Amino acid sequence: MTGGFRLPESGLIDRSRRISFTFDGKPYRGYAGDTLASALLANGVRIFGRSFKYHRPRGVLGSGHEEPNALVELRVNARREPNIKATTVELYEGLEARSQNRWPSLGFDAMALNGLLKPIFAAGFYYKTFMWPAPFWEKVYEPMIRRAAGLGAAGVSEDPDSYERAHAHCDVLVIGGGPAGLTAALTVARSGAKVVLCDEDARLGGRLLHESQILDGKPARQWVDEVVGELAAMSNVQILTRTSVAAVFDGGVYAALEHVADHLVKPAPFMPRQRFWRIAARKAILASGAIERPLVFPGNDRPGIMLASAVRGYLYRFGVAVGRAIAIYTATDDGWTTARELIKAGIKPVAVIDRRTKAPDLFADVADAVPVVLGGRIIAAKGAKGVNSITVENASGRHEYAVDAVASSGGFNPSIQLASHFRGRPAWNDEIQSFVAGDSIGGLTTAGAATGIYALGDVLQSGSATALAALAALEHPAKAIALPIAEPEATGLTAAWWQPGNRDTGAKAFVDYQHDVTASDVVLAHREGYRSVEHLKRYTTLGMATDQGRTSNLDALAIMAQLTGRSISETGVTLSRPPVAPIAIGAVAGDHKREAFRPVRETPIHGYALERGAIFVDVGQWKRPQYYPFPDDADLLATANREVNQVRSQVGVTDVSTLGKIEVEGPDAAAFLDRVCAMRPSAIKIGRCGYLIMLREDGILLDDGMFARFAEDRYVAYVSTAHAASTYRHMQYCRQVLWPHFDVNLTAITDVWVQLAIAGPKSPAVLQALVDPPVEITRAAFPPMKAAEITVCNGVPARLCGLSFSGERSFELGVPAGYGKALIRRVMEVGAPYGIVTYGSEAMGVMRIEKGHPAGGEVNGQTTAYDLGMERATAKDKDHIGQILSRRPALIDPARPRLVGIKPLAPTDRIRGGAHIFPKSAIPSPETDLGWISSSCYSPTLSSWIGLALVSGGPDRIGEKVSVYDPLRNSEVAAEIVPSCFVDPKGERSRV
Amino acid sequence: MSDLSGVSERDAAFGLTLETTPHYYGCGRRGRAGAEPGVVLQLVVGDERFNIEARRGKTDELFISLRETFGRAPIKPMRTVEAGGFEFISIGPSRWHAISRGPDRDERHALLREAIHDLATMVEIAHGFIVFRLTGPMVTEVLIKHVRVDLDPEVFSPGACVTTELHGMTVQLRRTCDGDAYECAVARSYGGSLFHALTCAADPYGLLVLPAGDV
Repeated sequence: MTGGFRLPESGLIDRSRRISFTFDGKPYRGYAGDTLASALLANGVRIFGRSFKYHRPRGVLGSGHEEPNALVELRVNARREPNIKATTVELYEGLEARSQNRWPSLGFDAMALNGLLKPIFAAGFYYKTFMWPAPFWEKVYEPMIRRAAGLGAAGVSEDPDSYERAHAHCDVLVIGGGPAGLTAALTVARSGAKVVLCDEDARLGGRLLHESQILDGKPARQWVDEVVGELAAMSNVQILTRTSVAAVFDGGVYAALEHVADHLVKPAPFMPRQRFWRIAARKAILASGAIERPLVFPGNDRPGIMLASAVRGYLYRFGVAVGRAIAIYTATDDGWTTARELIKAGIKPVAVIDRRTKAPDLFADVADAVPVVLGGRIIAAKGAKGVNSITVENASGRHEYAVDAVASSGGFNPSIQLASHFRGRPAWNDEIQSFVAGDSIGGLTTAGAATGIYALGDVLQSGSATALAALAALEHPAKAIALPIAEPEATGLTAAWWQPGNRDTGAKAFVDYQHDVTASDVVLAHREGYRSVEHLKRYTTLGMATDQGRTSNLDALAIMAQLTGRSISETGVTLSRPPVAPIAIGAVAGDHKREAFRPVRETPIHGYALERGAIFVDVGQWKRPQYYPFPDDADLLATANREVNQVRSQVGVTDVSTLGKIEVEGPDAAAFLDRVCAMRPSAIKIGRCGYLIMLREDGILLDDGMFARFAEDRYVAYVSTAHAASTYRHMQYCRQVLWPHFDVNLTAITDVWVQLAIAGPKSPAVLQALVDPPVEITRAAFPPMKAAEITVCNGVPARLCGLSFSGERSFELGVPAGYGKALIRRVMEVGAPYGIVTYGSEAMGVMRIEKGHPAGGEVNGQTTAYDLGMERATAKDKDHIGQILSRRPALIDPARPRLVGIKPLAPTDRIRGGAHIFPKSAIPSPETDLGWISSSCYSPTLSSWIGLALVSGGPDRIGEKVSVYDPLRNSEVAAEIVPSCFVDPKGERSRV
Repeated sequence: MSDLSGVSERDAAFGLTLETTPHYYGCGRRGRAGAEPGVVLQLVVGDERFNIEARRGKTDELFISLRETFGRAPIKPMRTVEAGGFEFISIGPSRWHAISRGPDRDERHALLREAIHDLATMVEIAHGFIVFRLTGPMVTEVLIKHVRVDLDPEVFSPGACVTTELHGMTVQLRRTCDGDAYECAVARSYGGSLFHALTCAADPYGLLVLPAGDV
């Protein structure tokens, strides 16, 4: 060993490339190819962090994504990222890492006092303690517990990096680039089928990178290089390294996360930090290997106590010895393999302690070389900041060993989490003392160590055979590939679970390292009746940390099985949920952020509105101009008042392109619409407009709007912006499902036409300046409710309707959308002599409230045509959707909340939407509640605040004095119930 | 039948100017610098697009009529069929978009109307769509960031078309019949969002945005 714990040779690190990095501010050096964990271990660092609850010092347990202890915070400022497993962090120049969950320092953590309070902080402690006095929970206890517990802190600044999504398609997806994955991928690739091969490591090879196996008489790593080289050269192969397949969905869809730039200080220009893949695969092979489980014993969490396979991995892949005095504690042959490899590397183990009473035959050389304790068990591990001694007990008595590391091997658990996403119930396998995946589900089949076979030769064979089976299922011709010959490998083991006693001895034998769940917590859960695996999980938080219980679940199940007198199989197992690897929310969002968080819709005159300084409001996905402020306008109210006054006195133009437009065409158009609508579209004359009312099947109002009938067989329906999509969908459902025999077609043309409403007493003059001869805009020639297809501005096709939403003489003019910007410029030009203004949705809303027209606040999915005073427009003598159910007694009860106007007794008293209405002098309560304000505004026409309301028995209460109570703003206004139409109730202004 | 056909051709005579460059459309090089752009994007203007939907039970008759008139009928789903100067794009059962480009459209329109007569409804919808044409060696790399469709040339071959989701929008994606380009059509109101999504995805490869024009 050279300085520190780095071996002079071996490993896949690049010793020509030194890398500088810091941990807790202290500088260290490593090599390219190191992980943060291997580099720190090489530098003699033993403590990586503090535990979740007891703040115990923790080192490294494993060498991959199963790591529960070595969680660190990476980078600084906006790129700070907590809870990263040091075992998965590729070392890069300038890497800054910090330990977390400690104060004031990693070496001395004051919160370690928690360890003395274990009897209080046992499983479920927060259900039993800190209960009194009750108000203390929210204000004192919970904040205190949250501050004391937990892991790292997320950055608070906006993430400066970008993330993206991508999609891939293949015949076979191979998950895992170890020996089984490589033979599977090679088999598929040589058949010509499309294959995507994913591995979370930066290099393919899996366990072969960590071990010294020989294949065909050559180092297995050489075979890996040859296979990877062949695969990389094939056009039908896509290799995704640094990519974790994290979830499986129906239809062969897999979610995977590619860590594109996590191994860099920061991403290069135009490079995303991570890429979220959606992979559609006809078949998938889960070759994700297996993860070693530790043996449970008192003090088993002390730094230096590691998985035996990890000890071997650090030795071979990174050239790092995890200690100088290493004991092997094993229930498997694999532990002996680690002992042998250590001997080969010149690090003779202090002892091999085997839970079995006989040493495995294939390891006589090891037994000759080191002390062996058969039938032994560790009953204590000591050392404040790292293990320094263990006490071993067997039939011959107790033995003390001075050690600085323990390699623990309790067996291997197949990594089958992804199979659980299809609700595949794992099956118990006695031979390996673990769970394996059930049958192939949803096209996903396990291969290699993930099936519970661990000898390398068998694993290679399994990968290829599984691939052949997948190809056969796809009816894709394929041939078996020649597999390399592996040397014999011993894979024996014995069950070596923690033996629970009847009493808590106080020993901290950890089952779940990351959540500080001990064996005694499982005993406690059993004693308190939480014996189902689901209850056990939730009561103790077992397996609920970021490692998802990879190294802990089975040990806990085994303890519960012993306590309940059942087998582990009978005890059951919880299923893994997606994602099986942590995924940043940013990666899921991809490029859906900031202004591109969701798509927006802009009308054809959006650019013009921008030029005019419009302020926009979101209406669903639409950006609608809300108001067009002048520099002198004090606020929105001032602008809206000005715009309303100008429309009512002169003329204004607004953009109503967002209204839904549906062309209905065909010989059966009228008959079809008569069934869809509650009024009678067939009665609308050609060249005229008519009201549109649609009900849902249950009699509730779906939407209202207008029809324009341009021909015997052709209508255009103008529906509300909010309900445009649902109305079109409803009409298509009626056409395609309910009455497919009707010869009628529907075309959504909302985006085809720009639509401007030109309103006000001077609007006819403005229109006259736009239309081409011989069209005349006079009361007689173009009365309200007339509809015509004409041309404007010297030949531009147009649709003109005499419609009014404001109560003024008004027209809605539509031209093909590409002419929208030019049209509104022309409108403003010809309207200038008449004082025309652009007005936004705010002023439009004020005018519609002044006229008492129901809109979004009233057509809310709860109201009926009856409620909103539309029943006179509905046809009673024909059948239509919602007709029968709209007559249910409950829907025609006069006491229902029905539309009325509300006017404050003092005009300056503000009425707010959402306020509730109570009888005058009544104490506000659910019993005295009469209804609510559905829309409100300040009316510049009336110089008063006004509102529309849904009031029980509404129209029957006209003239009643009421109280408008707003509990959210603690205001109360005396008001009067009035008719819903405040301005020009006889409609004379619209007929000028 | 709603007839706006010829609107763009007559534009010169109109008193209103057709908007060809939306406010969001910025031309020029952007993204990664390099000698050649990986992707070239262009807003397609001047084409005409008709929504054609067969009347009840008239689909077969419509095919016969189109075949008699143009020599071919758009019988294959998810394919573009070139016939009579139109590109017929299948957009659903008994429903197509017919795209017309280039000169001499009036004659073709007349033929199409004659072929369709009472067998289908035909609505001019060109103004309702924004079409971006994408070319360049990295164009599929851009598209796989957004669409779930398998763009393998053997699957999405020249002439293939599909209505799919792209960044939350419904788009019509098609590969031109010569295989040189992809075209993304979206409802006009979504044009800005689609432009943003495509250009951001293309930036890493170097993007050239051409002035809007005929293709």
